[in-house]
Amino acid sequence: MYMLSLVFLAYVICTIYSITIKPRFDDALKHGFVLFGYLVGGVYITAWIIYLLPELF
Amino acid sequence: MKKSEPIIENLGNTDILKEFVFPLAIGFLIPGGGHLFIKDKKRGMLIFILLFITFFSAVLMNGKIYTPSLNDGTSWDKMVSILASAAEIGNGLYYFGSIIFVDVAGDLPSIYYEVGSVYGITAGLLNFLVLFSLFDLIRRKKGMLPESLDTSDNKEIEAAK
Repeated sequence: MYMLSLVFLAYVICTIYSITIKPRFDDALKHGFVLFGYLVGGVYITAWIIYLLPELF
Repeated sequence: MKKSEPIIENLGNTDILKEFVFPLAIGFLIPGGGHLFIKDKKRGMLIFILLFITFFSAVLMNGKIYTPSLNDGTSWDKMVSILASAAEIGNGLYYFGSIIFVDVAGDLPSIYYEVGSVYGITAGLLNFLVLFSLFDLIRRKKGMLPESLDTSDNKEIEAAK
C-alpha cells in the first residue's frame, strides 16, 4: 500500500502537468500516461540495477 | 530599455472581475472549480477528482497539515512550516476546512504519516499550477494571450478549435 500510494501520487502529478501544457484534452491524457510510464518504468529499472549491481561484483 | 508587454492583450471593455477574477478565485477555493466555471468540463472534473482524492487521502492517512508556527522549534522548523503552509494554502477551502475540523498535527507513529504530509503539500502546489494554466486558458479563449507569451504549439491549438 505504501508503494501504491507513491505510484498514485506520481500519476496525479503527471496527469495534471500534462493537462496544463497540452491544449487538447485527449492528447493531455495520453501524454500523462506516457510520462507516468516513463517515470514508474525508470524508477523500477533503476531500483533493479541498484539491487542487482552488488550481486554482479 | 525594452518596453514591457502587457500580460493581457486586446482587453477592450472586458469585465476583468467576471472574466478573470471569479474563475481564478473559484479555482483557488475549490481545485478544478475554475475550469468548470469557464465550462471546460472534462478538465475541470478530472482536476477536481484527482486533487480531491489527493488532499483527502492526506487527511485519511493522518498526515501533518502544516500551519505556520513561529513560536516553537528551531529556525529550520519555522522556515519549513512557513514554506509548507504556503504550499498547502493552494488547497483553498479544503485546507481551511481541515484546519478547523481535523487534528492538524497528524499521527506521527503511523507508517503513512510521511506520505500523507507529502500528499497535502503536493495537492496544494498542483492547484497553483492549475491556476496558472487556467489563466492562460482564459486568455487564449478570448484571444488576449500575447503571441510572445504563447509557448504552446500553435498548430495544436488550431486543431483543438
